[in-house]
This record gives sequence, C-alpha cells and structure tokens, in this order.
Amino acid sequence: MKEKKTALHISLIALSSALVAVFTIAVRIPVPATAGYISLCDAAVVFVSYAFGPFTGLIAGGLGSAFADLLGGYPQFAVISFAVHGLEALLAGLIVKKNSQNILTMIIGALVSIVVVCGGYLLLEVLFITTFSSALVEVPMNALQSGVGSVIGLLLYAAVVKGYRNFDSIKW
Amino acid sequence: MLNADITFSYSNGENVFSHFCFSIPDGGKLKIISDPGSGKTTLSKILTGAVPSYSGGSLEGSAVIDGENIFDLDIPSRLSLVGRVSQNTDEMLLFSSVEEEIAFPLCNLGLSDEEIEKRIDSVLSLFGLEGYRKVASSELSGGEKRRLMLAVLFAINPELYILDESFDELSPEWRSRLVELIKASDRMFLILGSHETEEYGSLSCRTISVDQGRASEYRKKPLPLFSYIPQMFSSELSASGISVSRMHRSLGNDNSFRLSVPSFSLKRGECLVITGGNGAGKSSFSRVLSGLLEESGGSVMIDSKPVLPKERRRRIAYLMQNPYEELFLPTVKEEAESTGADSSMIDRAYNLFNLVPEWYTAEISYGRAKMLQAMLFYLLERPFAIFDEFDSALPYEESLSVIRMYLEAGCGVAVITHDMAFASILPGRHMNIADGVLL
Amino acid sequence: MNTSSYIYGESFYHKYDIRAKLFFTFLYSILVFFVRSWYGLIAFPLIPFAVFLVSLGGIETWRAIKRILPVIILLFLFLPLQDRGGNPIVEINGFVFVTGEGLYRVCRLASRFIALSLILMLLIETERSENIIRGLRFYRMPYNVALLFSMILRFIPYLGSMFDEIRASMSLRLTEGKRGFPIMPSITAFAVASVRMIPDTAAALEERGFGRKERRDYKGLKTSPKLFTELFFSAILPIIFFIVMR
Repeated sequence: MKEKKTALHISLIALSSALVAVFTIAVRIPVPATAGYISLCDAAVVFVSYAFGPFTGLIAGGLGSAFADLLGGYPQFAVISFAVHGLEALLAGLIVKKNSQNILTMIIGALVSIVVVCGGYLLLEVLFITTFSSALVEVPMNALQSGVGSVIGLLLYAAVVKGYRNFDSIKW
Repeated sequence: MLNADITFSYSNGENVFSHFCFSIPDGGKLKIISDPGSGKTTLSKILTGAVPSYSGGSLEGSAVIDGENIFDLDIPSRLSLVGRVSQNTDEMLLFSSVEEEIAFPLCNLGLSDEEIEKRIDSVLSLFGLEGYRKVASSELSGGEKRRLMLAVLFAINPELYILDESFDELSPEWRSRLVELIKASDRMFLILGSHETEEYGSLSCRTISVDQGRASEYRKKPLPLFSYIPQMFSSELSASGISVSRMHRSLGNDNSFRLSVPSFSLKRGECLVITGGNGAGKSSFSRVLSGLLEESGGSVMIDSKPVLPKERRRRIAYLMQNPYEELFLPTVKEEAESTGADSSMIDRAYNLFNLVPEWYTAEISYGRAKMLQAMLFYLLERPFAIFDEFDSALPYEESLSVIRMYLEAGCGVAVITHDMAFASILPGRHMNIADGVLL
Repeated sequence: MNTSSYIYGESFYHKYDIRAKLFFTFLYSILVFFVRSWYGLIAFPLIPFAVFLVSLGGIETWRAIKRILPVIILLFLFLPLQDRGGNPIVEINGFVFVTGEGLYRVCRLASRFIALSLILMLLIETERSENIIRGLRFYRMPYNVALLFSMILRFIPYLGSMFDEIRASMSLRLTEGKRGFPIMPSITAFAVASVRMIPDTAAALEERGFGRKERRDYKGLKTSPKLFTELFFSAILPIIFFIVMR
C-alpha cells in the first residue's frame, strides 16, 4: 500500500511539474498593447495548487518552472524560479478559496500571485544577480503575467473539475 | 502454466467479465480475438494488477501461475511473472531515454550491472534499436516506440507475456520477426487483437473470443461487404512535389526518414486508401495536407488553385489517430454545439453515430471517442477528410458506416490504415508508401 | 517547442566525466561570488566563454550570449542611478553620469552573471539529462528524486507535443469566420488530458517493478583513473585560478 502511494505521488508530481513547464514554455497569449506575449506559467502553478493541494503545488510549481528555465536555456534563473513559483503555489493554495469563482476570490488570488512573483523575483535578483533599478524594470510585466495567470488558473480549475469528475481519486 | 477464472465489474456497475476462464500450458501461446471494447485491455491490466488497483471495481476469481495466485500479489511483485505491452505505447513510457526505459525494470529485479548491460544490448539488437540507446523517447516514431516496449518486456522476460494489439504500428517485416520470436520463446504468450488478420502470419495457436464477458470459441467472421459505389464530383484536392522529413536531434545525425509525394489527388465523393509501413510519414503527410505542417517543397491545391496552410485547415478534416486530442469540451452535447450546426442536424448525428449528448468526453471509451471525433467533423461539413488509423479501435462495420456517411455527404475521403484486410474492403484507388515514396 | 537543451558534440568538455563536470560547475559557481579584482572580473567569464567556443562552436555561443545580453544591457542602462554619491568619472554639464563605485558594482554584477550563466549553460548543453541525473545520484541525490526528474524530462516533451496537437486540432475545428484558437477550451482539454495520465503512469511505475525490495542501482557510469584525474583538475584548477585572480 505504501508503494502504491509513493508511485502515485511521484506520478502526480512528475505530471504536474511537466504541465507547469509546458504552460511556461508553450502556452502564450498575445498582449496587443505591447506586441509581446505573456506566458501562462502562473495559471498552471495555481491550478496545480488548487487541484492537488498547496504542498504538491509547492513542489510541482517550483520544479516545473525550474525545468522550464533549464530547458529554455536559462539555467541561471532555475533556482530563483523554483523558490518564487513554489511559494506562489503554496500561498495560493493556502489563502485562496478555490471553490468560489467570484470577483473577490479572483482579486485575492491575483494579489497573492502578484505580490509573491514580483516581490520574489525583485528580492532574489537584487540579492544575487542584478541591481535594484534594473530589476524594477521587470515588475510591470511580472505583475501583468502573474495577475492574469492567477485568474486563468482559477477558471481552469473550475473548468477541469466540471469536465473530469473523478478528480478526487488522484488526490492525496 | 496459467489457469485463470476472472469475474470483474467496474465501480459504475459495468460488468466486464463473468467467469472468464482460460488456461495456457507452459510455453503455450493463446490468442484472444474480439471486437474493440470487449475488455481485452482490461484483462491485461487485471493480470498485471493495474486494474482494479488504479481503476476501482470489484475483482473475483483467480489467475494461477505455477501454483501461485497472482491476484494475491501486489503489482511490483508480479514483475517477474507477468508483463504487458500496452496498446497505447505512451501509457507505459516513463523515461526520456531508451536506455533508462529498459534499465529501470531490470534494476528493480535486482540484477547486476553486467547482466543489465547484457540484456540491454541483446534486446536492442533483437528489435533493431542498436543505434537508439541514447535517443530521446520523444523522438521515436509510433513503430519505434512499439519496438521499444517489446524490447522492455523481452528484457524483463516474465513467465507470461501479454501483447495487447502489439502488432499494430509494426511494419510487415517486424510483424514476422515478432512472430518468429514468439514461436522461439519458451514462455507463455497471451496475444490480444481485434481482428484475425494476416498480421499474425504463421502464428497458429489456440484462439478464443470474448462473448458477453465469457470465453467463447473463436469463429472467423467473414469480412463485411462495402457495396457502395462512390459518386465523384469534379472538385479536387491535389498536391505535387511534397516532401516531409524528420531527424533525431539528440544524436546529432540525420538518421531520418524522408517521404516524398510526387503527385496526389482526391476528388470529392471519392474514397482513397493509403497504406504503408510505420514511421513512413503517413501522418506527417496528412498534416501537410490538412495545413498543420508547412510543406517543405511542392504545393497543395484545391481545384488547381494553391491553398495556404491556414485556409486548408478549414477545408480538410483530419481525424487524428488519438481522438482525445481533438475533443475539448466537457460533454458530447457541448462538443456538438461548438460546431455551429443547427440543432436538427445535431440530433440526427447523435443517432447516426450512436452517441448520447449527456456523456462526458473524458469518460467515454476510446472507440466512442473516435465516433465522437467523426461526428464533429461530419457536422463541420468539410469537403475533404483524412481518417488516420480510424479502424484501429472500432469493429469494421462501424468504421465502414462512418466512411459511408462521409462519402454519401459528398466528402472526399482518404483512409490511412495498416490493416490490409480492412484496406481490401474499401472501394477506390489504393496508394502505398514504399522506400519513402507515396505512389 | 524546444524541449531538450543537450547539443550533440564530441569535444573534450562533452567527454569530461559528468561527476567531475558537476563538481567543477558547482565550485566555479561558488567562487564567482567572491571575485573582487578587476582582473578576476574579466577573467572569470572568459574561461567558460572559451570552453563554450571550443566545445559548442560560434553559433551556439552567440545564442547563449543573446540570452544573457538583455540583463547586461539593462544593468549598464541603469548605471547612472548606481552609487550616486561616489567618485564621479563621467560628468556632463555638471551632472554626474557614472561614478567609480557604480561602475565597479555594475561590472562585478555583469561579470558574475555572465560567468554563472555560461558555466551552467555549458553543463546542460554538453551533457545528456539522464547523465546529469546519474551524476547527481553519485553525489547522493535520493533515488525517488532522480526518478522524478527523469520522468519530468520524459513528460515535458510529451505534454508539449500533446498541447501542440490540441491547439492544431482546435484550429481544424474552427467554424467559418473565427480566427486563432480559443485559449480556455484548449488549456482545459490539455489539463484534463494531463491529469488523466496520472493513475496510468503510477500503474506503469508499479508494473515496471517500482517498490520491489531487491532494487539495485544501475550506475551506467564507470569508475576509471580518468575520473580521478578529472575530479582532481576540477577541484584544483578553479581554486588556483581563484587565488591568482581574486
């Protein structure tokens, strides 16, 4: 029985991490105002956290974004991404009431993500990589990305629960 | 020696087997041939233990190998007794490289490094994968993945081998190689298939079937007739000078296949059959035709006018091998309504394709998912359609009825299949891929 | 979608034993943080840069530089804001543009970032991921973590191609007059498909014998005199270099 649980946990974390990584690398939505793209990394991070709990979220959200950095050719950011998105998943899972998709929940979720992601990258980059002023440049984009991502993540959770009903058999 | 008496039903009450009894003597081979959806894959999972452990449901009875009831053992303990090659190869592929995939179960058996090394080398050469040891599994074609999964099973070498539709996706040469390997082995083999075709070549052994959850004598069904004479229209999809290629990036070489299509045409209302070995590029060519893949040379035309890939996506339906990839919405009803067809059309389609609007798309069987996929493109009324291995999870009759509906609606249908018996039923021209050329 | 960072090659750094390479990478990344002299600031990024050129060639080196460049440009763009109270070097019309302290700080950060990025990129671009995991096992990374990493590396390309398929088939099912692909339905379908794979994958793990007591570790890495020589150099070279260039 114990082995079955371990096998299930490993599969759960492996697939959730891969899901986060693919969202980070491949799922992009265009932002007309900037002619650029934002990645839906944060949507997957909070989705995993809502779906499988804050601690699975912590590990899968962190690992997924770290692997995305590694495979995308940015290994120097892998550790920072791990910490930031891991924390994002943990706090989103603990604070946000995933079962109510009203405006208030969305605002709370978005705020949690924005604060953790912007603050996390700013702090860790200033500590290890760059100067405060140049790290500040990333904040608006990070805020947009994590805010939008968080709301989409909540909607995604609701949609997946609706379409795939035997969700609970996987939870632990 | 295997003696089995299995009674199983899923937790939703669906009764799959009631006293399904069979036995295989030491070194014996047994085929079970029955329609898709009759529970063959469930049977293989029951024997390895994945069902009911991961699916729920109630299992009664026993499966005794050499005096031991394997139902009393947990899944990992059955490793040296029973192993399977799953119908969907991706379901059991766990690692990013060929080497790790084979080494993992061998490590779990507790073998020494030398023994593992020896077995890896021997199964790689057995299945023609010598150059693939370091290749990433994501770079393998369907047929290569199948050979890899066979290689893993032969490396484990359990008492009982279960091959679930394992001849699928193999080229004719590999099918006969596999038959030879099975004959030469002193282990027990359980071979599961939907159709008794020449796939099994000279492998003659006891064959049974599943009838209402019980074992029954297998009787070869005559091939159904397809007495429809296609009515062709002048509108035509054509292509010339197309070439498709693929390479193994992680090896840094150009160990790739190339497919060239000098000329191709398909009229509305026409039925065209495309056959060829696996990894030959049939799917890639379909992607080019349907506009999912940019052609690297040549052009695709409708009514002699070149059509851009984006535009082609709306003119040519491509029914991919894996139907779930084309289904997105929670229920059959929502899927049907997303096509924008009017409601009387949709109601008629439910009947034609035997679907219930309230079904959840994530919960229906593979065969039903194929029918749903076919219904959606039917409702979209595309002038041309490509069926990629559509017959692989459905009884012939059902595949034929779908193809007929498309033809009657004036659609030009290209049917890709590796099942020569199925190909022989279909009317119209046949094209075949040989040596990288579609002719 | 690019899902593998490994670039095939036959260079000395490709052939360098992974255990030694990991140690070298680790040590070098730590030392980078302690370099203070101007010589060191220039020399420390140059070493991995040279190895990059030799083992992966000009085109890959340029690709790597291109990924680093935005951060470096930003650093220097905001140079005027740095250490405004310091010793002025560049002054235009009485406005201090660059101070000595500011320039030193920015150069140090840039040097560290370049060196760190290149040495890490070198590791993942010259080594197959399964080898890196084996190397980490040598340094006592737990078995289940190694297994998890291998599986993540298998599923990223697989799920990536699955998403591409879903997006492509979305575009096949578009009705007249609609463009692009609808984001919510496709990511929902994608998430459902991924979640559905979890129990099958767990079953497959167990069917492959995960959890058996008699498990042995297959090293796949040979211990030879070459390893010890390379480990020795991996330790001694960065340290000497650091002492000289500090």
